[in-house]
Amino acid sequence: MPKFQNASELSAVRQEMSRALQKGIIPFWLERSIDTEYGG
Amino acid sequence: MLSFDGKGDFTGDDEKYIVTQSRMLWGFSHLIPYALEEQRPQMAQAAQSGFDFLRTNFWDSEYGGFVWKTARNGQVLDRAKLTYGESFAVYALSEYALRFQDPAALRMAEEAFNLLESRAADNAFGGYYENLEADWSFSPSGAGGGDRKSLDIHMHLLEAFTTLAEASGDPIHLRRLREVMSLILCRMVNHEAGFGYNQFDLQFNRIPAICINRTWNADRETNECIEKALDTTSYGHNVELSWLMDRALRLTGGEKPPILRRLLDHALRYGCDTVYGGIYRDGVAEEPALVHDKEWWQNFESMVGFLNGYCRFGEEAYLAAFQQTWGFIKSCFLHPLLGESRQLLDREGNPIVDQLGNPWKGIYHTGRALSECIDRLDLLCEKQPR
Repeated sequence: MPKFQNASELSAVRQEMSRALQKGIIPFWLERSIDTEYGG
Repeated sequence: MLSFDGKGDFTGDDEKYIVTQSRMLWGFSHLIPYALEEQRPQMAQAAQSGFDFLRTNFWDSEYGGFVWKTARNGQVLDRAKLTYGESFAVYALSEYALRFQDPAALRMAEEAFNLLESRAADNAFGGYYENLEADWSFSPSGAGGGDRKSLDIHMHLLEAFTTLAEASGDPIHLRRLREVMSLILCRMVNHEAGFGYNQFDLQFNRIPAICINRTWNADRETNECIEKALDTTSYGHNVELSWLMDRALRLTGGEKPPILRRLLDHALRYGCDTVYGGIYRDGVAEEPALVHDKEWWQNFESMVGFLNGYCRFGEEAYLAAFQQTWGFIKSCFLHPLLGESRQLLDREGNPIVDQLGNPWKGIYHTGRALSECIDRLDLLCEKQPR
């Protein structure tokens, strides 16, 4: 595996992605997709 | 329920498909470690609800296998057995079994796998048939899909069998995974130019790609006509194949074939938009892209493929493509307030289809891509993977 020269830059991208998941994609589907009446 | 417009409001389309129900089950199972602590119990409940709905309503107790579509209440609307749908059920049930150590889910995944082997596998020419009817007889030819095989189906079987083999440890699952990998490499890709062919007859002769009822291009709302259909290729599909094949190789062992890089190099050369960012939708073999629209799943999968390529081969151009694609996704695909991705954009990033969810679009491509990238970024930053 290559050694990335600027780990802080990649770490920042990682944090952006984690935030996009936790604050965007996961809650979007948790709030909308679950069928509480019939399941699924 | 999965159909939401560009404002995140439910559109009223409440039919349930085995593909998307499975993708949501996979997503709520796989993404728990990436979620906030307080989100995890609800995700586990959602996964449980998804598993219960699948085994109660989608399983065909007469012929076996999973039906294609139900109404919201579980009433069966389309009883067909599509290898695409069956493969996603195997993928999701295996992931659920891995996450929750649930033997019932693993048994169901294995039963679905056994049915694919006995009913959908072509023992004369290899591989799997595309579309079958309720009783596993062939669907009609042409748009019915009964007379063809596709890279799409086999790529998703590769994905499903990898997770099934991880969950079961059964040598037969590993053996069939190797066979699917071998078939893709021997029959379905152009090794020199680095792209995948689309559709084949049952003997694996290449044939012009057409839209197939229920599956290939059924999710697309634009209607471009590509004249030279024989060699059309999907950049996002090719890059997705590169990382899925690499993932499978970690399980099966063996040398990395040169095609893993060539798929990326072909997409870099013809599919990446160096002006606006992102990846184009379709092209023809070794020529400039034909369709410059940008589709959400191709862009999310390309991000994983290019980052995986950088991790495996150290090629700086792959890292640049990853960063450029993420930049385009952040600024154009992701809804600034609601957080999910829009479906289809024009070249400059303006929405063509701004839906955030539909019967094909759930948490699978977006959530998976981010989790896969996070794992690789952790490795690059010398942290421990999850």
